[in-house]
Amino acid sequence: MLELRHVTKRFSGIPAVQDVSFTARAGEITGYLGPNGSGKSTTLKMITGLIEPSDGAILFRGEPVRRDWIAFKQRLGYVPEEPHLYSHLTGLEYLEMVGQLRGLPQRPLAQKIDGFLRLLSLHPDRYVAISSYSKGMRQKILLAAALLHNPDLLLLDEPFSGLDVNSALVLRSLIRELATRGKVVLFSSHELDTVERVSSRVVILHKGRVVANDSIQQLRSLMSLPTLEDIFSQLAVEQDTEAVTRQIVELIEG
Amino acid sequence: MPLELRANWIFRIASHASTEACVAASRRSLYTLALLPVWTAAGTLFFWLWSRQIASEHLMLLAALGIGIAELSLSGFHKIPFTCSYLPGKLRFNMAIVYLVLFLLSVTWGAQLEMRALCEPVLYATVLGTLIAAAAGACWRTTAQAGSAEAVLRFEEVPEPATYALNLHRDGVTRLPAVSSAIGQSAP
Repeated sequence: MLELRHVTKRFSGIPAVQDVSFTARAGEITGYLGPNGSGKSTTLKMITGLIEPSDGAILFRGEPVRRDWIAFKQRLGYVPEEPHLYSHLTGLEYLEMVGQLRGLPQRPLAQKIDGFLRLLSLHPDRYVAISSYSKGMRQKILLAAALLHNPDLLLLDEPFSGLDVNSALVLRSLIRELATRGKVVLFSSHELDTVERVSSRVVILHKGRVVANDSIQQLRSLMSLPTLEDIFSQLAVEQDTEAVTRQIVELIEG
Repeated sequence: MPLELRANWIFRIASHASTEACVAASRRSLYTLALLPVWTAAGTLFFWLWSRQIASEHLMLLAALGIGIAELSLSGFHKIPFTCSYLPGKLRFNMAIVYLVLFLLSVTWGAQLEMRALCEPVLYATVLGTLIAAAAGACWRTTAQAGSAEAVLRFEEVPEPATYALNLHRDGVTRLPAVSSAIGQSAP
């Protein structure tokens, strides 16, 4: 179980994430939603340790993650929002490097990498430099790198970004399967439809604060709204979308 | 120097290695990629130019000196090579000429001392012993620093406070914390 207690992050005194508390349980898929700039990626980066929280505590299985930082990192798989990879390496070399950093034994690592590359349709391009990869291919490399060491906690920041329909369907099913095997899955996405299909519960963030934290079913009945999109619009969208659309059309047409 | 800095997140997340292990790996790389090739090339040249005895004595001094310099350069280097940001302002180009003059003076003085030592066995033993002791001391210091509880791997250079860069930190009465401790506290 991953637990965030009153986590806050301030950049030069300006709060990006304020007093965020929620729990992501093993066997469940927790969707983390919010408009751009609401603090989703900042939260995920704080969990990974890439950013230090200004306040609050992050616990995994009841223990503060900083207490045994190396052990926590061994259990963590992370797909960042931006696919920043060492582009001079080939896909195969990058995964080998990640496996070595993770301390995985050579022979099983080679077999695992080969399997991932085949199943993610990257095998023909395994000797090609990542600089030549498309965004979807980079995303697949990130996914493989995050799953190489069979982590207990998966943090996925916009994991469907750039993936083709086929790969997105595979990933969606994979996330569900991993959750049923007892992994803690926390993923942020803008694709509300996907979140609604995949997640057991959602946490909605608006201006750095949690505005909803419940199962989708519960939110639907509480707010008497039929879809997650309606719930999200009510809680986190400030603009009148139809009015904005009308204004843009008017602008286009001069 | 950093290489594709934005990709270094993978080292922060996936690496389980301690600072001590990272310094040991940097040491192995430095020895293998810098020290050993230079020493081997120099050895080949010296054995071709000089007598076997002089060449081997000079090479022993060179090895001890090289190890000492390599260890000094690793002192406080709590980073994975090429993964940390770099602030160019830290390199003081205006001091380059001073360093060059000092280097030339010390090389001249060192060469004269070595010339004498190669003729006097006692002096040679003293010089070699001193260099070996200095190299061992530097090695111990580097390892101890990396193994200390405060040693954390750094991926971001913390900019010097403006008061330090402008040399104003001694002005007034406000005492600022040392730059090294400020860096240690803010490192991830």
